[in-house]
Amino acid sequence: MTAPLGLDGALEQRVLAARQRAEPVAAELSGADFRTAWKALGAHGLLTDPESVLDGIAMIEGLGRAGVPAGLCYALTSQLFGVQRPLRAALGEAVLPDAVRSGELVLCHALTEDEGGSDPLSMRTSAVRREDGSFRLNGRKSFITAAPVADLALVFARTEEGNHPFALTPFLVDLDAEGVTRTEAFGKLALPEVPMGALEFTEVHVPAERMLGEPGSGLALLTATTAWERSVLLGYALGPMQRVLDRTVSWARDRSQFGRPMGASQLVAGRVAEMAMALWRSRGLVYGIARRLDDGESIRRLAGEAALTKISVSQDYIAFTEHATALGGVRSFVAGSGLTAELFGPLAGLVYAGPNDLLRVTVARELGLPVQN
Amino acid sequence: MTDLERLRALVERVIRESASGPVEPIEPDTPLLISGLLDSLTIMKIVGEIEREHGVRLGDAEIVAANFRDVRALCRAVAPEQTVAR
Ligand SMILES: Cc1cc2nc3c(=O)[nH]c(=O)nc-3n(C[C@H](O)[C@H](O)[C@H](O)COP(=O)(O)OP(=O)(O)OC[C@H]3O[C@@H](n4cnc5c(N)ncnc54)[C@H](O)[C@@H]3O)c2cc1C
Repeated sequence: MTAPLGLDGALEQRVLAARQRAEPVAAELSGADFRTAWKALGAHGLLTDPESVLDGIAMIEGLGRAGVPAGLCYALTSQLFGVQRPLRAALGEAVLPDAVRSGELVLCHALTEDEGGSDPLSMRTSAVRREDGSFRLNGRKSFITAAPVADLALVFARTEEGNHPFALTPFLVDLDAEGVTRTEAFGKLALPEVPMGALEFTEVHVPAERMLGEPGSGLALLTATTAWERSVLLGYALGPMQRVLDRTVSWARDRSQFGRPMGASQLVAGRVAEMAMALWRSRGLVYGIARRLDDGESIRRLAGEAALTKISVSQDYIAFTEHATALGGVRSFVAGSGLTAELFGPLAGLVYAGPNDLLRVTVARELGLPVQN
Repeated sequence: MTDLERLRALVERVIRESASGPVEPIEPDTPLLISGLLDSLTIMKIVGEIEREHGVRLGDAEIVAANFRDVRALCRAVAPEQTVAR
């Protein structure tokens, strides 16, 4: 299928322009380590936030359509919209060094711990204020995307005892500071092109000006970073989905079973139509919320809709992948077959950026149910 | 209605919506944090409602314990120009 489902002409032009720019790079990327791949994308100006969220998502969809691996599309979406945007929106342009914008410096978002996963208020990492206003940071953050390669981390740490909502404070931590160690990259199966690891902080000195906001303002920033993620992070999948849809349509047209093209069987055609619907809905939701962010709607007031978007798109991506996997037959399970299914990436969407079940609680709370998470 | 009364009513309404049992009336000086009346979703819901009803935007640095101690403290953060009766 050539019709771009759910894209108007102007947006499709932007996606195609990015695809064209990314095509020569995409070929160099397979098998490259993260830093090499990142540099190659940066050299073509493909890491820079193009000012509007809509253009950013269109650029990332273009990269995905050009064949840039899904893990890199994910990493870029998360850099631009999961960390950079919310930080700038909350704390002003000067909060991040210029080299972040070009992609020279890589950020990571360090919230999760081995014990505090979906319950961040139970975290142990702590920052203790010293007389000169600086902080001493101790603890361990685990399962952090890009931790093995990042230069700076947005770290949430407790500045007070207890699980109360104002116990957390955000910091921007230099990862080459004394007392910071990184683990080896974990053997991550989902989105493997971007590594994941843990960060350990032992008596790390954090200057006063690296506290982001005020003591206790972790909740406010966290609400913003997670709402941004829930709004548009799944946008990383739009390009990869379009590619899978295209190759599935070709396969169903070209492969003959029972003496006719597979796609002449109604159940096969029905699965392809289901895939198209999933992609259509996903584009509508992600670009729709991107437009509202560009219109200046408060991210906090969008938190409920961000949760709805994240749940919906991630569930659609899983359903989409199941159809593609079924239609690919055995080739779905063979590396290099041309129809190899990518299963872990879509399923990981159930868990990151707030497990879907916890987001359901957020949604129900917005509706007025007295449910606790 | 004064800002203080509007805010008191807003906070009480959001807390009532979020609670699974009956809630005592919220007064301007009812301690909100130590009583565990506010969890993180309730706090952010209050912030959202303030932004909608009062047409102000609260910065991250204002969404901190000192301003959520009670409704009076919150009122000082939301409408600092208005003298809040002590
Ligand atoms: C690909 C990927 C990238 C990630 N990148 C980052 C990153 O960059 N930075 C970062 O900080 N973290 C990151 N994470 C970690 C992620 O944020 C956590 O996995 C998530 O918060 C859930 O924590 P957990 O895995 O410990 O699950 P747990 O808290 O152990 O929960 C497991 C499951 O139990 C269920 N559950 C638990 N409690 C409840 C409840 N109260 N109500 C309903 N259901 C419940 C949910 O289904 C949940 O998925 C990443 C995760 C993945 C998969």
